[in-house]
Amino acid sequence: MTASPAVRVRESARSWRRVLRSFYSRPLAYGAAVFVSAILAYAGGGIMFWLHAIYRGENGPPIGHWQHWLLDSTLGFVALTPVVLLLLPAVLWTLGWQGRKADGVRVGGYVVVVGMLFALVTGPGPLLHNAIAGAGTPLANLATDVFGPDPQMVERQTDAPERSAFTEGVLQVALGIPVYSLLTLASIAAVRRVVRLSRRDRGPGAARAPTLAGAGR
Amino acid sequence: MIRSILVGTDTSAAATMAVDEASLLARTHGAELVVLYVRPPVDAREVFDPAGVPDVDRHFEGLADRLSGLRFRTRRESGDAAATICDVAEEEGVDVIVVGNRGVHGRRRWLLGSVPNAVLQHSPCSVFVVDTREAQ
Repeated sequence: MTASPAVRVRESARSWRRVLRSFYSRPLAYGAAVFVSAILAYAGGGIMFWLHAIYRGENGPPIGHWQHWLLDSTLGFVALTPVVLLLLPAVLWTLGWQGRKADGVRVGGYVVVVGMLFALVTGPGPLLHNAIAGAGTPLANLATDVFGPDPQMVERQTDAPERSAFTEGVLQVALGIPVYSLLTLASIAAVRRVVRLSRRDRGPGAARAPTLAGAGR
Repeated sequence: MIRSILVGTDTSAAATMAVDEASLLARTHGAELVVLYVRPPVDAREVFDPAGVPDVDRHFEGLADRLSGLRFRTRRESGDAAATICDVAEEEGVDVIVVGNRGVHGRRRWLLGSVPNAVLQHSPCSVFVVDTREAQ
């Protein structure tokens, strides 16, 4: 007898809850996930800022490049951190490592899938950017008031070309897949390094997960 | 009459105290001991801290020396720790489950719940709770 759709949905929701609880039961996971999100938002945001604002000449607020990057990346960080918090455990569960060693191939597959899904999620980014922080929006006006207008950008804004949001979205995903995959890999490597260094500071006894050796009676 | 005992381990020092206590109980009653390791559905350490992931093979090899002269088996399952311990106890038809009283704590306890509490509530047989505070 097959389970009803309602039962299957309930079972699936329960499984997801278990996966999230299990992944975030370790404090390391929170810090690492937020760090990955920050790297994707600010470093990835920097590359995407170059693509859209500098190379493609999007019609954003007439402020300096640094301020514009900071504004867009911070918006991206706030909006996309929940996505990263869900993606990291979900991909790990879906790939089903099942306790096997995290070798190069598995880590490579993991970062590519995370990078690809993250790039797809950011696909509508240019459209949302124009709607939320594009030239003339309340947020863009506020940013211009706070940071002050950049004369070069004001001049450039007057002859900014009209771009299709679809084309910008496709470019975002196409460049995003390798960029976000590499940045996910770099941030995982950085977290691993920090963990290794903190272990070294705590002494050789902390180098491995506790085993029988620690249970003398 | 105790013929078989199930003890859960996460390879920690506290869990090993519970295994020791279970082995004592098994020796006293001439019972078989089943040592169960339950792997969580996903473990963030697999991605961010591979060196921190327990080496279950090594742990079970160490058990072989520790439990010499005793009839014992090891099992590995994946899932929620408490639920899996109860399921395996039912499947194996064990007479007693042995658990440590202090497994996870802090945020992990809040998220995962207390394994011994959940086992006590849902166990299909008697439960022996070992005081493992010494190993914390």
